[in-house]
Amino acid sequence: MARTYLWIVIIIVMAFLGFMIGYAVPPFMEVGFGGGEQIESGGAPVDEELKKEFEQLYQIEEGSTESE
Amino acid sequence: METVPKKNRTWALVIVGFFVLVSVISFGFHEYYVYLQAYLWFGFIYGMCLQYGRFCFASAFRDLFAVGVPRMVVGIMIATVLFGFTSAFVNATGWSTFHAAPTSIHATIAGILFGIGMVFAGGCASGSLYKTGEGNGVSLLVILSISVTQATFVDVGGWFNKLVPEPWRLSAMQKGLPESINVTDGWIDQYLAGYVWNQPVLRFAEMFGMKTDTVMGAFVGNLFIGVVIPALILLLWVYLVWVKKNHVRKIEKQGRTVTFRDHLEGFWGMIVSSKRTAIAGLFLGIACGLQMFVIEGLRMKFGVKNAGTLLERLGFTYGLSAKGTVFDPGYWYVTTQEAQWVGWTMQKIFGWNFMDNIFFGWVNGIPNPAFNPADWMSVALIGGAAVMALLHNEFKFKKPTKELAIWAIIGGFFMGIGSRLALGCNVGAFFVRTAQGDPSGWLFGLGMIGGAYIGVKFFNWWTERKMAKEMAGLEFEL
Repeated sequence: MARTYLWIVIIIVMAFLGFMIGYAVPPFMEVGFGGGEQIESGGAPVDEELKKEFEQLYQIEEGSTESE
Repeated sequence: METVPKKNRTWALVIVGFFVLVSVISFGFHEYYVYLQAYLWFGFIYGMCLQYGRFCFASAFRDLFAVGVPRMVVGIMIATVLFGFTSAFVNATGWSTFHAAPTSIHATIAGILFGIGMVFAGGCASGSLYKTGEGNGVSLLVILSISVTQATFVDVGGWFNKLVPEPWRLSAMQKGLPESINVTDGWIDQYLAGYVWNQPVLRFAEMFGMKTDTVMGAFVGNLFIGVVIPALILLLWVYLVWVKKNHVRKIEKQGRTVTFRDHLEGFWGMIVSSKRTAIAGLFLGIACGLQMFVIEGLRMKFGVKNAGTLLERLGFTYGLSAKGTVFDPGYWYVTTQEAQWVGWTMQKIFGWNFMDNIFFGWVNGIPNPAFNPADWMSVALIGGAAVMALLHNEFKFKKPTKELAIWAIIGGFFMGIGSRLALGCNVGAFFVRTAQGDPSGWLFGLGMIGGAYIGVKFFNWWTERKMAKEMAGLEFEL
């Protein structure tokens, strides 16, 4: 009986795992498998506005003007 | 397994149901929560594997040094090699989320402290998590002790600044950190920026003139040279010191002369004797590699390099680091998130400013634990271990005795210090790093083995002394 429950748990975990893999695989397909170096340079772009927001995040709160 | 009470089965489903509910509801709010769910479900898998394999570094080395049982050490080494194999695949594709750590003697020193601590506490960082899932109160105390020690240690300054060597202080000042990070106030800040960051970051592949993100570099450089050979040397050492004697005795009893083939059989027998730990290690290795793959895919999909961006988009800006980041390793980690929840609690409730140090303020942040990806992983790890324990009828609430509580706190303290000096624990600083071909992982491992040896010897001395005292008292009463 407990073995059945364990299988239920395993199936639930596998279902979520499959869901997440389904989410993760398409971006790789776009870049192309085995294109590791391409990803380094051509990963999904981060919005410029967002970058600015991050740069200003602590400058606003603490008056700091330095960043990395 | 068939005699598991209905109560256990129900509780197992309640725990799984809770995580399913969290996943479904959070996804209903926004698809970005898939990122946190990835941490959650991989954490759950780690918990199940750890509990099934009784995967604990403290037990492994304590059993080896105290009673000469190598089963768990062998299992851990097999798991490391298997994880190394899946990692090599991920590395070869160039999609690994792993970043190698600075390599120097600091990793070994940190490993010694960590090794002593885990033997005192009776569980390593990951072992304490899964044992908490089994209802062990001592392990929960260990986690609390590790968490509080780390959070305090990374922020401690004042008098401790006097212990900082001058070159570290000067070097730290030259790193160009923002004004919000008070780099000259804090021992760990100056240790990190003034010493650790100056050390070389190496991978075995690069050391031998290869590139990690090539098949040759990942499989030959990092896996074969960086994982398989050191693991074989360690296993050979275990065989020669602890297993060989008994194996030879058995053969000599049969009236035969021991041959090289007999030794090979003995070595293989040692390997297969740790079947359960090895099976757990196999699944751990696959899950660890898969997590790197999934997290990298999600980063590409959402166009981010760190979960801090997602949290910011979701409107959670409290506790983001000065770079807008949070702790988001992309693979299995244990101790940093433990420090984070204490940091968040102390800053939020007691108003202690934790954001002026490098560990929290510049690198990891202190996001709300309810939205901290790595915290989702640790909570789910405990849940996964609880489910496995319940379904194997191994779950039991164990209240700590006063003596065990003291050892747990002392052990947790040493592990907390060791973790922060090494930038990781037995998982982050050893298991993950060694499997990725990072030599600093082996340096930490050497220290951890040495520390465990010291811990076991000290424990033996302590126990004998205590027993002698008790016996003396008994004689007096008689």
